[in-house]
Amino acid sequence: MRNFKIALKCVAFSVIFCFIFAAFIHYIDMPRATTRIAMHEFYTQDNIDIFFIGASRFRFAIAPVIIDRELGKNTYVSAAGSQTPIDNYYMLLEMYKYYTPELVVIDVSYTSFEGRPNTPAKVYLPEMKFSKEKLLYTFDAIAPSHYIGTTFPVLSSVNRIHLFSGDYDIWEKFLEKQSQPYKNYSYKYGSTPNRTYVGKGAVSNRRTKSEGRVGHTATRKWTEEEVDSKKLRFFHKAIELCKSKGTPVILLDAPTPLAAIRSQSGYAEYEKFVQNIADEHGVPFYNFGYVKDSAFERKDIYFYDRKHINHIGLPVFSRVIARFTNEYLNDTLDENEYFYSSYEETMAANPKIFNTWMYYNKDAKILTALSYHGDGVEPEYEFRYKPDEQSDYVTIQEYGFSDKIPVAQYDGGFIRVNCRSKGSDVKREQWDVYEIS
Amino acid sequence: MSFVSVQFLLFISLVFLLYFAAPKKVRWVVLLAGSYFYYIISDASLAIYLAITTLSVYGCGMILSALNKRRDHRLHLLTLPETFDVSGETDAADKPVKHGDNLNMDDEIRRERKKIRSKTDISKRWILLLALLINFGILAFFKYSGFFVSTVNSLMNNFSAGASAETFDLLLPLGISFYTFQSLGYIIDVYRDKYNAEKNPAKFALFVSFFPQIIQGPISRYDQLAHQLFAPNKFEYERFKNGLLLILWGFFKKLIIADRAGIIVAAVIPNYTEFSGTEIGIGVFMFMLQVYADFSGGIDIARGVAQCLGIDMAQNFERPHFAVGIGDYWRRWHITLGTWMRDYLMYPLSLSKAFTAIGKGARKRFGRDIGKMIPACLAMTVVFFAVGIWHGAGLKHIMFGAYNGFFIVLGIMLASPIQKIQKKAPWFTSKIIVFRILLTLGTCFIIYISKFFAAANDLSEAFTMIYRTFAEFEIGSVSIAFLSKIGFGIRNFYVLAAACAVFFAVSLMQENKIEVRKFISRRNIAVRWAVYYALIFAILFLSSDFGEGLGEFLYAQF
Repeated sequence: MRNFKIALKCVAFSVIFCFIFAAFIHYIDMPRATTRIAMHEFYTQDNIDIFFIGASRFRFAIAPVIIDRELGKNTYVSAAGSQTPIDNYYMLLEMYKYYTPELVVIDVSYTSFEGRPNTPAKVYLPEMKFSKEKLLYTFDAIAPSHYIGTTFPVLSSVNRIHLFSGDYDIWEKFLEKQSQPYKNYSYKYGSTPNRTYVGKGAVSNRRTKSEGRVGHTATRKWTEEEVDSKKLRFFHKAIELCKSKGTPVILLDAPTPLAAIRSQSGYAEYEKFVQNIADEHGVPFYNFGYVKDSAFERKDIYFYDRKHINHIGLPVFSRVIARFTNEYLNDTLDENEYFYSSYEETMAANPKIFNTWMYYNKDAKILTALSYHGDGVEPEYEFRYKPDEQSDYVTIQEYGFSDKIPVAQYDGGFIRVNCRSKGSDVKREQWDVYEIS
Repeated sequence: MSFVSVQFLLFISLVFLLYFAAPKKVRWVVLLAGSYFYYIISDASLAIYLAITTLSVYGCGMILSALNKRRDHRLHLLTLPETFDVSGETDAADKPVKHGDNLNMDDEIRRERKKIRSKTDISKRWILLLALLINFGILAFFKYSGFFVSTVNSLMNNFSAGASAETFDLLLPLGISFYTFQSLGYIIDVYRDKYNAEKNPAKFALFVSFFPQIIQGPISRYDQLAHQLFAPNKFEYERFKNGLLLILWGFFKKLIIADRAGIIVAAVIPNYTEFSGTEIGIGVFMFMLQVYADFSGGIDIARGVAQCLGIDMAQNFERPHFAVGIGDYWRRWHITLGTWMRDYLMYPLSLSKAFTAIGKGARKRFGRDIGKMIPACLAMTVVFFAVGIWHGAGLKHIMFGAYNGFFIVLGIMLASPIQKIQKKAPWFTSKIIVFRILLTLGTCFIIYISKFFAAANDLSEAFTMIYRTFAEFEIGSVSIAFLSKIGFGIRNFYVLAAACAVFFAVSLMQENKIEVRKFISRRNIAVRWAVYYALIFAILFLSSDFGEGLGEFLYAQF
């Protein structure tokens, strides 16, 4: 009897705890604000005509408001960071419950099938309406160790036993959550200092690279062996789903800097792999990695890292994609106008320096300049030095001398490398800086 | 795996479950497996040093125990009335003893006993020395080699520019000071024949590695802890609940008070040149608060976990900031280190031939009172030098020890005159509340100054900070601007102030012999649960995230 009373007390204590906990969370936790607004917009459209689905590269590259204005259609981009083909499939299922799109554009990149462990459902699950599919999604998308984090999103990133970081002002968040702008899904709550939510799932990233400074872009080698079979299976299922609904599907690889393509070991194999999938399903695959400058010039300032477009590139590329999808839907698309036919042709057609960076040999105390470039180009380097932030650079090694520079004599300061094609008379095509410490 | 991580909560839940579900005979095995799992998960590459300490101390303990037994056996044989047989190892072995020749026989026995004892003692001393050398050697290598190399470098640079030995940063094995001291306490006790060595190496391994205490103590004694570890403890609801409450209280102190105070410390102390004297003073005050809440919070979590398992670990703190003297403070602060130093360093020193001789000489020269005082003062000086060194290499640590030692010695020297005054004026005692408050504040002030040595980067920085704190002290100069300068929001300040008020109230109750957990459990269920929920949600929502990571407890680095 005593044990029963103790057990009853424990259960009662736990139940009350859960209620208080849920109430607190409801009033003070503001998780995944972007997804909350994006999903609210997703559920409140009249119809979605063009549905873009993918991961962060779509999210930062495609602004539906621009496409809508250009085409007079209703578009939506369902793309979040680290979104996987599993998320895509269930989001498509959800989309078909409410809308009948004219076109589905599925994002594909060399990281789409990476066998990384599933992250907790930071994508759509918490905001998705309850349904049988949502349950299936939970079990398919989330590793068992993340079930708790999905049920209580506030716990998803908890390492220490407290829920909020020290600068999380609970009182301020409580007030904010009661405010009208928050309740009305103001875009302010989907934005951060570096990112602005621009509607219908798209985000504008305000970070940018300096012109001519792409820097080092090395990535892991792509091999077919590392393709995650589960993600691949859901990728196939997503295409089949669209086809079964009678919607045309495009597989599309968003633009990346040429340096990223050149440095991506196994890029051609990856491209072939995706092309095979497209062929298997009879759907087109368009790779903006091979885009011609006449269609979309990949300026360095359009990107904020090796694969994501920023706020400057977003409107430019959105207009390109508007024209592109319009031509596709009207059957007037001329692929040759947009793309080179292969990796080799892309490299041959871009005889320029894509990027440069420096490698430091600690033992020899020598900096070596390196670069990626198009076919038929030989790089040459110029080295300049300044002792501190305030000083001006002074040339310490002219172009054409060597790709190496000894730095043992410098206690600190900055070495800048300028890189250009041999025979060119421009001051530089690419540059980078190394801080000596 | 930090004590304040979700993983740790899951880990202890699993240990509790497995421990109480396991058959009684193997419950200690669950603890051993859990302890090694905890250590390896936290610090796999350095687990080898824990194993070396365990094996070396176990081995030496077994040898010492065997030597003790052999000695006792031989001494026992000597006392047998009919024979003098000592296993043929002495000349007297084959000589029959004549009855009635008692005087002669007693002398012989006494001589033989002495011989056996001294022979055994020599062997034992060598074994003890070996254990001490191995384990203090490892400890010294990890804790002091960096300091040694940098000192050598600076000396070499004085003589020849550019000449220097290679410096290196060693990753200190988790809890090395604590498990080394605990193990060496055990071996010294076995050497002293206080108890027999543990025969089962796995059980001994559990004593050394018991997971709640391994990071920062308390430094337990074998005779107090071992039987509890190996006993098949039953699940007791009240005890379990009290253990959980103690864990929560530890979290409260660590996460809400220590880590919040730590934000101020981290902003002010390393950049003290950018702050006014008053602000430096506040920074060091916060350091004092942080150290106490952090260390005692960690100990509470450790003791709470042990209590849930039915094990009572030694208390390490008894509200040190209510102390009425430095001696009293050290009896309340890091109690297990203090008693370790007392039992294994101070007493042996005081009773050593050299100190006895010093005492005799001093008594002859200065009289009885001072003669008694001098060896005690010398022993205390050595002890506090060791306490300083225990905290780390470097002059600031030695100064920390010397400073505390000075006040302890002063206390010893003043004890007799104060007693004389008290005889004449009985009201002159700490039992009078005003005196008590004054003595407590005075003690806190002395301890506060010592924290400058602990907080500063080096000795000269400590002196500069002390000078600036008092030379530039101006309470009116502190404003909200100070908090915003260090990025410490006003709400953070309110939370810290409220948490400190709760901490103080609880300490005051304890100081007045009120057992807080019993006090709460006597209230009705609504009040009780309200307290529990308040504590849990305060931890969940108001904790600070300063200094995350395994070594985030300040004393884990010792």
